Amino acid sequence: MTIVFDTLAKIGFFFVLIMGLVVVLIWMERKGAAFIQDRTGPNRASIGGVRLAGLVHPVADVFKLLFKEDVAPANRHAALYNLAPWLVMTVAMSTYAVIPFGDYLTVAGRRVPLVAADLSVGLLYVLAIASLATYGVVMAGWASNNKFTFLGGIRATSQMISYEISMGLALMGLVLVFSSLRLTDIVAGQGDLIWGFLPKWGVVVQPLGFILFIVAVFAETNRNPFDLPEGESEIVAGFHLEYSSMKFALFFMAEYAHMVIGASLIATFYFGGYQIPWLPRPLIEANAGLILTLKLIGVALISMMIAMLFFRRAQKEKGKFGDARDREPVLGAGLWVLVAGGALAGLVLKPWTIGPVGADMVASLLQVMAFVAKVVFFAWLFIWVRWTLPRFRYDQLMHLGWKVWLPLGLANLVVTALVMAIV
Amino acid sequence: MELLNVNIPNWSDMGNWIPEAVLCVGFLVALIGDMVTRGKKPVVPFVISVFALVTAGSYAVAGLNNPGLAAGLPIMGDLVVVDGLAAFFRILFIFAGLATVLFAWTSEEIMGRKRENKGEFYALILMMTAAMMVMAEARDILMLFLSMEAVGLVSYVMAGYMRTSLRSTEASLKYVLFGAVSSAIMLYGLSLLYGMTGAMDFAGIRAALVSGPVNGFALLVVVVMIIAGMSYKIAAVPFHYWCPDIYEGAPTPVSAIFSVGPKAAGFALMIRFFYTTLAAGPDAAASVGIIHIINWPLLIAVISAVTMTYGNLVALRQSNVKRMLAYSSIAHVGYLLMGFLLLTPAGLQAILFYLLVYTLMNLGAFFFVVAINNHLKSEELDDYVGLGFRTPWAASMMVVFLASLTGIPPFAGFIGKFYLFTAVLDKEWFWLAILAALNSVVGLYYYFKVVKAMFFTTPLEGADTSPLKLHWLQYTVLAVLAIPTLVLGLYWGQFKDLADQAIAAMTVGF
Amino acid sequence: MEGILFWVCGILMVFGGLMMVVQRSAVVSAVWLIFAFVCAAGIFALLSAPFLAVMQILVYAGAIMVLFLFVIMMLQGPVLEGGRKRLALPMWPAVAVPPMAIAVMIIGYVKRHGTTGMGGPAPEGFGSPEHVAELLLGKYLLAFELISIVLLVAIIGALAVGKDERKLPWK
Repeated sequence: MTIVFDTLAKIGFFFVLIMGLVVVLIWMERKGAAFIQDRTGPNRASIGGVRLAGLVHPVADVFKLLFKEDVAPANRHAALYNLAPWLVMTVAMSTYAVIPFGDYLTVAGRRVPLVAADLSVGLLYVLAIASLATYGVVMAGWASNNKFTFLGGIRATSQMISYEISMGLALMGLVLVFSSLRLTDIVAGQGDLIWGFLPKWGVVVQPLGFILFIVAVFAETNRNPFDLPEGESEIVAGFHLEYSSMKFALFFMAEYAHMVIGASLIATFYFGGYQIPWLPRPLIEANAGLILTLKLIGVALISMMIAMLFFRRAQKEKGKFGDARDREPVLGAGLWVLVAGGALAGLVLKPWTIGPVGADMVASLLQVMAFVAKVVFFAWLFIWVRWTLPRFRYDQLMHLGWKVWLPLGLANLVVTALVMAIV
Repeated sequence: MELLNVNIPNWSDMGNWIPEAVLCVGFLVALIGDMVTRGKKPVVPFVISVFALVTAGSYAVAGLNNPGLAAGLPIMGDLVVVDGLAAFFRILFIFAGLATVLFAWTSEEIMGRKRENKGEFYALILMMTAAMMVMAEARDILMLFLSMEAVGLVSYVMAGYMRTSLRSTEASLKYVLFGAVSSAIMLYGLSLLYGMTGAMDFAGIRAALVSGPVNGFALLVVVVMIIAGMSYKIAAVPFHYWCPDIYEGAPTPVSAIFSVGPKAAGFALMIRFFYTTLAAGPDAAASVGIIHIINWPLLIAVISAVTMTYGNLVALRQSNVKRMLAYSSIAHVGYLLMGFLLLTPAGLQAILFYLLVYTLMNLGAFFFVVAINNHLKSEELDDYVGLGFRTPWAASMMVVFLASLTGIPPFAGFIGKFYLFTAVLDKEWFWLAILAALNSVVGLYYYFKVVKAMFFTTPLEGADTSPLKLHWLQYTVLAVLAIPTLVLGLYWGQFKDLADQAIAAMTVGF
Repeated sequence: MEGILFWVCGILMVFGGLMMVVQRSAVVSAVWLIFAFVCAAGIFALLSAPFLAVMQILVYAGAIMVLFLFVIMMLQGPVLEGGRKRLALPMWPAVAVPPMAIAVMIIGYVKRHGTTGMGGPAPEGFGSPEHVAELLLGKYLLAFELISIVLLVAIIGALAVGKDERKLPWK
C-alpha cells in the first residue's frame, strides 16, 4: 500500500511542478518577449492594484478561458474533436512518470526513489510517449473540418515523424555511453567525473548528440523555429484554430507542459538531471550543516539586496500614478524583507548541528532544486530561441530532418560505438 | 531458460551459405552499380546479376557433394538448415533466376525504351532468388514467415514493375491485397500452433505434438490456416484468384518466374513443414497418428482434385496465351498436390522431380510468349496463327514445352506425372488418379489449341507472314530449356536419384 | 490484480478491434486501431515483456499508425463524408464473427487442455532489453538480418514504384 501512496505523492509533485511552471512560463514568455523586443510587456491585470509584474495575467487568463463560450464548428467530428485536447494534455503529462527529479528521500526509514516509475525501458518509454503526442494534434486538425487546421495536423505529423528518428538516434549514443535504458542509471552515471575534474554530463560525452537532441526536441514540441503546425502567418493558427474556451486552454497549456518536459529531458539526458556538479550526494550529506547554513545566509543576503532595489524604486517613483499602483514597490520590498527575515530566523535553529535524517533531506532538497533550476533554465532557452530565430520554411525543415540530422545522428551513433569499443 | 548469456552464433557455418551470401551481396552491388552508371541499357546490374547467379549456382552445385548434407548443415543457429532438400531447391531457384535474368535482357516489356528502373529489376531478381532459397531452408516458424514475406515483397514490386501500365499496377495491388490477407491467415494459424505446442522450430513442434494429447479440431484449424497461407503462394484453388490476373498483368518474364519460383519455394516449404511436423521421424507409428487426427489425406485430395479440375476447365476457354498458361499452372499445382497426399517419401520425391521438370517446361512456354510479345505486342491466340512458319525453331521448341506440359510420353512431363500417379495409386486413391488422368486429357485440348494455331491454321488474307527474327540469347535460353525437357523424358534416372536423395537426406537429418 | 488488468486490457483491445472494423470513416478506424495497439502493449507489459510493450507503442501505435493516419487523411481529406452513419452494418458481422468464433474455440481448448510447454512465472530478466538484445543478436540473428533485407527490399520497391513521374528522363 505504501508504494501506491508514494507514487501518488510523486505524481502530485509533478502535477504541481508542471502546472506551476506552466503559469510561470507563460509569464516568462510574455516578459521575455517584451524584453527581447524592448518593450514593457503585460502590466495591466491586477488584484487590488497589485500587479506582481504581470504574474496576475496568467491567472486572469485562466478565468477568462474558463468562462468563455465554447464555440465549435458545426461539421466537426464531435468525438475526436472533444478527445484531442485531452489527449494532448494527458500524453504531455505522462512522460513525467519516468523522469527522476532526485536521487532518493528517506521517509520513516524507507528509501523512496524520487521517480514515479523507474522503468527498465525508461528511455524508450519517453520516445514512445513522444510519438503518441502527435495524435492529439492530428486529430484536432482533422476533426475540426477546416483546411487550415487540417494542414496544421498534416504538418505536425510529417514533422514529428521526421524528427523522432534523429531524436532516437541521438539518444542511442547516450545509451551506449551509459549502457542502460533506465533513466535513473543514466542520471546516476552523470554524477561521475572524467579525469577528476570534468563532470561526466551527457553534453560532455555526447556534444553532437546533444545538439541533435535539442533541435529534435524543439521540433517535437512544435516550438519556434519549428512551429509550422501553428504557423500563424501561413495557416492562421493551424491545428487549434477551431478551438475556443477551455479546450483551447488545454492546447495552450499542453504546449507549455511539453516545454517543461523538453527542458526536463534535456536536463536529464545531457545536463546531469538532479546531479550537482562536483557535489556528489555523500559529500552533501557529510557537510549538510555547513551547506544549509551557507544557503540560509545566502538567501538572506540576496533577498535583502532585492528588497533594497524595490525600496529605491519606491522612493524614486513616489506618487507617479496617484493610485494603488504606487504601493507596489513598497509591498515588494516588504515581501523580500520578510523572506530575508525568515532565512535569518532559520539560523536560530542552529542548522550546522543537523542530524543524519536532516542531512538526507537537505541532500534530496538540494538535488530537486538543482533539477528544477536546470528545467527552468532550459525552459527559458525555449523562450529565448522562440523570440530570436525566424521560422523555418517547410522544405528547409524536411531537408534538415532527413538529409542533415538523420545522417549526423547515424554518424554520431557509429562514432560513439567505435569509441566505446576501443576504450 | 538461461538468460543474459550472449551466445553469438558460429560464423564458420557461413561457408555452407555462400550462395545466399553471394546473392545478397550481388543485390546490393547491383543496386549501387545501377546508381553510379548511366546508359541506355543497365549493363552493370545485368552483368553483376548474371555473375552473382553463376557464382552462387556453382557453389550450390559444389555444395551437393558436401558429406554433411545428409545430416543437414545448420546455419548460425537452428533457424535454417542446408540439407538435401535445400540443396536441390537452391539449384532449381538459381537456374530459374538465371534463365529469367537472361531472358529479361531481351524482353521489350522490361528493357523497352521507355521503361525505367531497369537496373532494379536485376537486383530484385537476385533478392527473390535468395529469399526463395531461404524459404526452402527454413525450419523455424519465424524464418518460414519472414522468408515468405521477403519473396512476397519482391513479387509485389516486380508485378507492378511496368508502373506506367495500368494492368501491371492493378496486378501489383491485387497481389499485395491477396498476399496480406493470406499471410494474416497463415500467421494466425502459426500463432495458434505456437500456442498449442510452445515451440517455434519444426522439431520442437513435432515433439510437442507427439508427446501430448492433441485436440483434433484445433490441429485441423491450425493446419487449414497454414495451408491457406501456403496455398496462396502455390496458387491452389481456394486461393488462386490472384494468379491469372497477375500473370496477365505483370511483365511476362516476371510471370514466368512467378509461375515457377515462388510456387516451387512454396512446395519446398510445405514439404519441410508438413513432413517434419506431421509425418517424418523415427517414431513412424506416432507420426501416422498425427496425420490421421485431422484426416490429412482427404483434405489434400479434395484440394488437389478441385485445383486441377478448376485450372483445366477454365483454361479451356482462354483466348490469351498468357492467361491460359496461368490457369494451366494452377492445374499443375493440382497434380503436384497429389504427391502430398500421404506425406510418404515416394510422393515427395515425385513432387521434387515434377517440380524440376515443370520449371523447365513452364519457363520455356512463358519465355516463348515473351519472345513473341517482343514482336507482335500481343499474347492473343488469334495472333499466334502462322507462327510455326514465321519462326519455326522457336515454335517447335514451344511445341516441346506444350507437349511436355500435357504429359505426352516421350517428354519429361510424362515421367513426372507417372511418378505422381504411382505415388497415389500405391496408396489406392483410385478416384484421384482417374480424375487426374481425365484432367490430362482436358489439358491436351487447350495446349494443342496453341499448336494448332501456330502450325495448322491458315493465316487470314493480308495478315503479316514475314519471318520473325529472335535475339540469339532467346534462342539459346529456349534451347537450354527445351533440350532437357526432351532428354529428361528419356534419361531421367540421375535426376530422379537427385530428388530421392533430397528427401532421403531430410528424413535422416531430422 | 494482474488478472483484472489482463481482462480489462483484453476486452478493451477486442472492443477496439471491433470498432475499427465497423467504422465507416477510415480515420476513425485508424484511431480505434491505435487504441487496440495501446491495449496490446498493456498486455505485453502484463506478460513481463516491458521492452515489447514499449516497442509496440513506439513502433506500431506511434510511428506506423502516424503514417497510416497521414496517408488516410491525405486521401480522405478534411471533409467528413457520411459522418452521421457510424456503422457499416451489413459488413460487420461477416468480418467480426470468424475471429470471435476462433477466439471462443481457443478459450474452450485452453480450458479443456491447458497449454503445453508454457506456463510458470517468467525467469528473472525475462523480456528486458538485455534479454531481447541477446536473443536478437544470438539465436535469432539470421531472422533479424532477414528482416532488415525485407525492409530494404520494401524501401527499394516503394521507390521504384512510386518515383516521381515528372522527373522521368524522357519528360
